[in-house]
Amino acid sequence: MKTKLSLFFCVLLGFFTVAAKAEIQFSGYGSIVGGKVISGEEDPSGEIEFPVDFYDYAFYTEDFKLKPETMIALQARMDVTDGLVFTGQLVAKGADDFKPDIDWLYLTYNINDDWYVMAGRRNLPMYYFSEYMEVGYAYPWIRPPANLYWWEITQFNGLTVAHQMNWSDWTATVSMFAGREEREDIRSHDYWRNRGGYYFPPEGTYISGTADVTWSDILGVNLNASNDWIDLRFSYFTTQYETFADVFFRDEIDTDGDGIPDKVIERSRNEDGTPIRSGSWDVTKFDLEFLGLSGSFNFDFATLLFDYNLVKYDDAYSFEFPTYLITAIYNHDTWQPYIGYTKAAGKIKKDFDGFGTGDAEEHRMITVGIRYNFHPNASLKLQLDDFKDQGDRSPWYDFSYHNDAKLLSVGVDFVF
Amino acid sequence: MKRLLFAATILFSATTIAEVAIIVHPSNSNTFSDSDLKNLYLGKKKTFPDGSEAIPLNLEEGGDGRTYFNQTALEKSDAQLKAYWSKLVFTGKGTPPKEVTQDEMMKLVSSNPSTIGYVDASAVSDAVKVIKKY
Repeated sequence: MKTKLSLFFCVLLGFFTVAAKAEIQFSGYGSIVGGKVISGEEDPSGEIEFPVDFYDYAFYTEDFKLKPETMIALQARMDVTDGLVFTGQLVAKGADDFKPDIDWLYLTYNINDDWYVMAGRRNLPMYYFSEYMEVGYAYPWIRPPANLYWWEITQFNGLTVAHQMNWSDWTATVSMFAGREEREDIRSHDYWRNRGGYYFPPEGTYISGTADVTWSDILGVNLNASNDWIDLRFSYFTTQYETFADVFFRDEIDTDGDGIPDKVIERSRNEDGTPIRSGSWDVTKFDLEFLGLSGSFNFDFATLLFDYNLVKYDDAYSFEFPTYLITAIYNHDTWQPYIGYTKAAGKIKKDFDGFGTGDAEEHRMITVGIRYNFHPNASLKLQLDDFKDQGDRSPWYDFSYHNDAKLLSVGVDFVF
Repeated sequence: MKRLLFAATILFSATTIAEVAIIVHPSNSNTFSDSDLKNLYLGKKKTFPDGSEAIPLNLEEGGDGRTYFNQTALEKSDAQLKAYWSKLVFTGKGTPPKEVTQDEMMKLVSSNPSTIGYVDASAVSDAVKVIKKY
């Protein structure tokens, strides 16, 4: 983190020296959010939880918490020379103990009015709201629904080439992007592991540890077309997904059967002293394909948002994961009530090791809320989310880490 | 009766916002459709219909004229427009029009052929050309 920060300031300083006359503009955004699970079922860990952000490992419990989603971001933008713009974003999140991190760092080169190139670190253009998923002020809800926005990877380092076009009342932008992203020590994998997720820990065993995930050879295209009242977006990309986990087992063994553990065995090393680490095989290394079609329709008093996405894993199970959301917003100047529905339903298409095929995980979420634009630069939001697991609960494939829960959250989003 | 008067005052205060005139430099001979204007002010187009450079100017925040312009010409509430721009600003895909006072707007538009702006219709002088009124 420190090296990243100093790199950020070195780059900033470098630009100051190179372009001493360049004007630097600061802007930013932030959110103060609090939330509490108001009802639901216990998951296998004995908690009633509601995950909201997998990238930053943020979730709520029955205790009111302000920290998971409260955050602030500062953006510096500078015209370095004619057509060349530097943009950097420093973000401090409660989920990360408010340690500042460089989420964005890139250069934009405007070749002419129609073409531009972006090089550096930016958000990956996946879902409709992916590129600005943390700018709460820019969308109706407190957060984009985690039913769709659940990836541990949201950024990438690479290159984007974009071309803008106009015809009649329509404007369109087509962009191609390529790059790579690595994340180490991802904590959210713990969440899955110990809640009956893919590691299936037997009772009395606690597995901890972190995971590393790499998305290499990211290659994709985005097409955005809009007129007065319609905005449509098509996105597609492929990448090679690979994950490794350092695993730490803590077994509590009850030898006399009185329900009290008598012996605790901890294992985190192999006999040769190396860390227990998952290997590279067809379940941890595979090609991933992402397809999305989304948009918004703006009527006089209402806005309709939709986002349909399909993720395909070319893994041993041929896993397919379609997700979608639909939200309707009533647009009064200062009050914007909204209602939304999201759904995710994963399917296993290929039998691997007797695992079977069929529906794997399925859940839906209903969201109702209201946004109150009480200040030119800030809005207050109150939101209720009702998450329901509709998945298959066969012994082989227990995805009960998706416990039913209702979440009440309140937040203020602001820009400056 | 008092209540009625009060209601009337509110109604009038809502309609007393004067007409807004869209202004360009007198030498600007472009014809603008409603969507040309919207595209310029939403950052979707960077040139006038004839292909020359366009610099849209906005009134400073808080003025009645700006809210009225947003609602009538751009068909968006202030909050919707700010949300729209925050999405572009924080993804590096655009910067909102420069904000000036009404006096500065008149000066800039009358001296720079690339600019386009809007002022209260009563503030218009011969130094600028009115292309549309809302």
